[in-house]
Amino acid sequence: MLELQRNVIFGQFVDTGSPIHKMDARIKLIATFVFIVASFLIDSFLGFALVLPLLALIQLISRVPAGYVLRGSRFFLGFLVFILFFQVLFYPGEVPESSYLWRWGFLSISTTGLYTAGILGLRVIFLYYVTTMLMLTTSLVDLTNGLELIFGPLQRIRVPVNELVLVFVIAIKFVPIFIGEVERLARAQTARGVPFDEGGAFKRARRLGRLLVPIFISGFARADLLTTAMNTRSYRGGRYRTKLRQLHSTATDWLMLLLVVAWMLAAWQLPDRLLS
Amino acid sequence: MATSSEGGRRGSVFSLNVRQIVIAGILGGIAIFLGYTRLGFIPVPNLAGSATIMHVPAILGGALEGPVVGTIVGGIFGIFSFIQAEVPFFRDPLVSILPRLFIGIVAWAVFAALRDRSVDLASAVAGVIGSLANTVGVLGMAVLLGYLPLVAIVPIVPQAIAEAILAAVVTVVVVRGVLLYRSGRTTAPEVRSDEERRY
Repeated sequence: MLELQRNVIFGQFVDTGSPIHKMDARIKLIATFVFIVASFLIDSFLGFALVLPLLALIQLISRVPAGYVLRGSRFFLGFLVFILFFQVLFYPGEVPESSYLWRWGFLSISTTGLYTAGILGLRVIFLYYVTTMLMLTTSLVDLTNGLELIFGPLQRIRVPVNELVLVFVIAIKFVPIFIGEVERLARAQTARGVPFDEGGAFKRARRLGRLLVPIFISGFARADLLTTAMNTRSYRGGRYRTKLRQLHSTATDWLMLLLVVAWMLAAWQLPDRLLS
Repeated sequence: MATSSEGGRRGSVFSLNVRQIVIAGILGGIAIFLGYTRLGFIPVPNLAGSATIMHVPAILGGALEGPVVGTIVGGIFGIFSFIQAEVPFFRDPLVSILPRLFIGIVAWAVFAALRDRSVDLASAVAGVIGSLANTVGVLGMAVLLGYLPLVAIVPIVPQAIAEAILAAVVTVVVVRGVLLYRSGRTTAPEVRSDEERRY
């Protein structure tokens, strides 16, 4: 509870200056989108096994320490195990009689349930990994520029793209700030004798309120400050703004994207072809 | 002057001022923060896995800043739950994103309607109704699209009630706090005289 910051790496940017860091942000965003789509389509253990080498390659090239990523995902993985456990127990689908391993009332453990939960877990980890890597290797400025350029055409139909991207960026930017803040609040309350690690579910939930309400209020206070700061600098959306750093994509970037697309297609299609 | 006429000509579908952008962003940040650190989940042993208060930022955005902010915060919440989906039916954006857009709108409508009666009442009802909009919307879509049988809803009912009560409590306290903060006071109004308060 008190060690949140060390165990959560959301929104961090680790600059190692690797080729992946230097890639065009737009290409990285599109590649991430391809990965997300792929995570829906791939539905076999073999498929995910095929994806693994590419992820390992990305990890290696990016030079972001693997231990750092793993430690930062402890929270997430712990919760995932918990959720999957209940997914298996309460598996709602049709199960052939032979696949039951254990059964008690509506609770059951079946091979079908285990298989589904396994695929689901891999899918979630895959998605989590790609989105985390995108944030670890792309600075917030590049991310903003990339998103604005990708969704730019929507401005034609009068969608306020710049504003919406800014909302999104503020949201991401503030997550680590809130994590730091909740940690400080928990420490302050512990120092005053509030135990955060004891008691049943109900007591814990009630204690949570003491952390959440200050977070919301300080959030609104920060919003007022930021609004004043932006107004004094005359912020008015993205109109007429020019960029100091222009994004440009090289042939290598496009080749990388092509590689990702081809690899994902293979991971999606090959297992079916091989087995049938 | 130039800005306003230009803004009028190139006006957008919905316009956002700086304050709305910032508040939507920060509330969205709180929603992601609650989800990511799992602080916003209270583990419950059933198919959904946990009761959540991640929709509370969307309710607050709707109640305090109007429908546009509420919709955007709901959208961020939806996109996040779509990307982090651990339960199969959340993998469909029609279930995980679409219903969440309405939380803020519903909360805003209720809050605006009751605000003149009593702010506390308005926030409590906005919390309950906003929370129910989330539950009914998500489960409704899940059943409609065939992810869940209708029977599966029954064990989720107590959880939905718990979520609604939790949302109501948090909304009341936060709305009070924010209005107090905005009124410029740094302390709550004193009810006792100086003499009584001394020690």
